Amino acid sequence: MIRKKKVNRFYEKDGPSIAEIHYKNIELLSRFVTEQGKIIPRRTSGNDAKCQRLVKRAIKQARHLALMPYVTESTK
Amino acid sequence: MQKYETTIVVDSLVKAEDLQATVTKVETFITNNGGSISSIEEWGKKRLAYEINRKQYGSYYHIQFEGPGSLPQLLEREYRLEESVLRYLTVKTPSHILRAQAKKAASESASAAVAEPVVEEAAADATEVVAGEPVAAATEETSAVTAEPDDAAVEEETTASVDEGEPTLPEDSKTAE
Repeated sequence: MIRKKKVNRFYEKDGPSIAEIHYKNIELLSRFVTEQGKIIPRRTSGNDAKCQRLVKRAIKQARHLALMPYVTESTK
Repeated sequence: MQKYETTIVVDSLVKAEDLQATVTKVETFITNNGGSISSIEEWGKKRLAYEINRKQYGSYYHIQFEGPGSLPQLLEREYRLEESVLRYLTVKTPSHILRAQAKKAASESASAAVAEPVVEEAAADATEVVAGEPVAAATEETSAVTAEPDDAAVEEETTASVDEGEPTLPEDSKTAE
C-alpha cells in the first residue's frame, strides 16, 4: 500500500475522475483502504474533504454489499 | 421522478431459474409500481468479502431505474420478504455522478450543435423540403441543454438528505469492532 504521498489524484489530469467514485468500482476504492480494510485517513490519502466524503460513503456501501471487507481474515 | 440504483446480492446456491425468477420479479415489481428500468447489469457470481448466513458466494445484480419517491421503500420491503436476497442497497444515483453525466451530455450536444450548420447547408443545397428538418433538430437540442442543469440541481438537493438514512449506516458499528 502506497503511503506518504500526499496528492489528490482526482484532480490530476491522468488520474481517476470524481465520477468514477462509486461502490461498484472496487478497484479504485481499494486504493483508499489499508491491507486490513481500514479507510485511509485524509491526511495520508491526500483527498480533499469532498473526495474523501464520496470515497468514504462508497466504501461503506461496498462493505454492506460484501464487495469489500469490514475486517480482513488475518485480523479476525 | 427520481433516478435510483439498486444492487442485490442473491444466494448463488439457488437454482439458475430461481435466480432469474427473482430478478424478473424485481423488474416487474418496479414497472408495476410506476417505475421504469433504464439498465440492468449482471455482475455474476462473486466471492463475498465476508460470510453472510454461512454463504461464501453471491450473485450480484445492479438495476438503474426511475420512479416515484415511494418506490424504494416498497422495493426494499419486497427484498426483505425474499429469502434468497442476502443483501440489498438502494440509493439515489449519487449527485456527483449525475452532474458528470449532465456535463458530458451538455458538451456532446454542444459539439453536435456546432456540427449542425454544416448539415443545414448541405440539406439546403439538396432540396427546400428537407431543409426544414435540421433547424427543428437544432432547436430541440438547445432546449435539452438548458433543461439538464436544472434537473441536476434539484436532484442534488434531495439526494443529500435521503442518503443519510441508507441501510449502510447501521452497519457502521461493525467497523469499530
